[in-house]
Amino acid sequence: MPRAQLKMAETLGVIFVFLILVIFGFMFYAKFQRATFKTVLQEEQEKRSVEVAQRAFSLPELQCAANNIMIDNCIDILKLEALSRMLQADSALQLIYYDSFESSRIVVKQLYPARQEWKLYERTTNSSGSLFTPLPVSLYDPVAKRYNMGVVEVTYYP
Amino acid sequence: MILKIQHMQKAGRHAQMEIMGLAVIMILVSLGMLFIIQFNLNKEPSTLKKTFTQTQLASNILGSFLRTTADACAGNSIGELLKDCAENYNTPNTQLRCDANERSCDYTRETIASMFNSTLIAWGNQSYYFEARIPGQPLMKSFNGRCTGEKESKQNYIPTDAGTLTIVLDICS
Repeated sequence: MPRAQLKMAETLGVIFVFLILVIFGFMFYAKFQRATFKTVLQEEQEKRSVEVAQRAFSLPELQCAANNIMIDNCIDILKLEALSRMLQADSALQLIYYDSFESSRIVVKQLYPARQEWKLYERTTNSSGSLFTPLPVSLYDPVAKRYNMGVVEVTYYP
Repeated sequence: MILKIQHMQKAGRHAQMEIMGLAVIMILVSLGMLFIIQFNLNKEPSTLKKTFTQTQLASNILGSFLRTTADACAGNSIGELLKDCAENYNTPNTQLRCDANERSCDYTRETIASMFNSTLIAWGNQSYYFEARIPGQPLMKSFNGRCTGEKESKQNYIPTDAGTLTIVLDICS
């Protein structure tokens, strides 16, 4: 084999190996980037789900009040029933809450003494996953003047 | 001739050593890259929601629970029943009576278990540890699983005639 051909084969071999290394490097980089993107996306979705849960939990329309002073961590059952009825009857009204609750399902459940449930808001999407946040709360019954145990369940659809 | 062969053998060995060196460097670089990628891929998932949920759970459950009006105990709250239980723990006959002649300590114990069943256990078998105690006397305990790792703890203190009633709820990771 002439010397020039040998040199050429050697150069081609080096280029081939170099290209393989570059391709491997690029594949690793892409995989790494994809994982980073996935983490960032997940963090963002979790952040939004927490925001929605907090908004639902501290909705001023539902807060208990005594002598015009808000009671922490408490929902007034009469206010809850009224808002739930209004939102179920008028779907256009749900749009007003879309800015706050986006695509989610918000249900208030009474756990003690008797089990009861009020659906507040529902707007679901076709997304496969959902993030569930339960927030325990006191439910005040102003008629019987008693506090019941309940939970605000927020299911967020990213 | 012999000198020439010896020279060629020396040069060959030298080239072999160089190739070995390069191979070692390549292996080290590849291993380093693999470690970096592995480390980044296996990073702990985001704990933002978990932290928020645990903090809220611990504080809200205890707060709501103590405020809750007991269904069958003359309109007393669970907090008041716990206080009564602490003050009359050693004299059960003087404890407040609920429906079915149940004593405040027993009623609270049962209610606590039922509430944790329908909350923390129902939401994915969450591990927790609950304890109510006065100095030198544990009143009641309820727990699920083992609390060995990280935990979110919430304490509540109620002054009683028997000393300060300490109520602890740990939500475990």
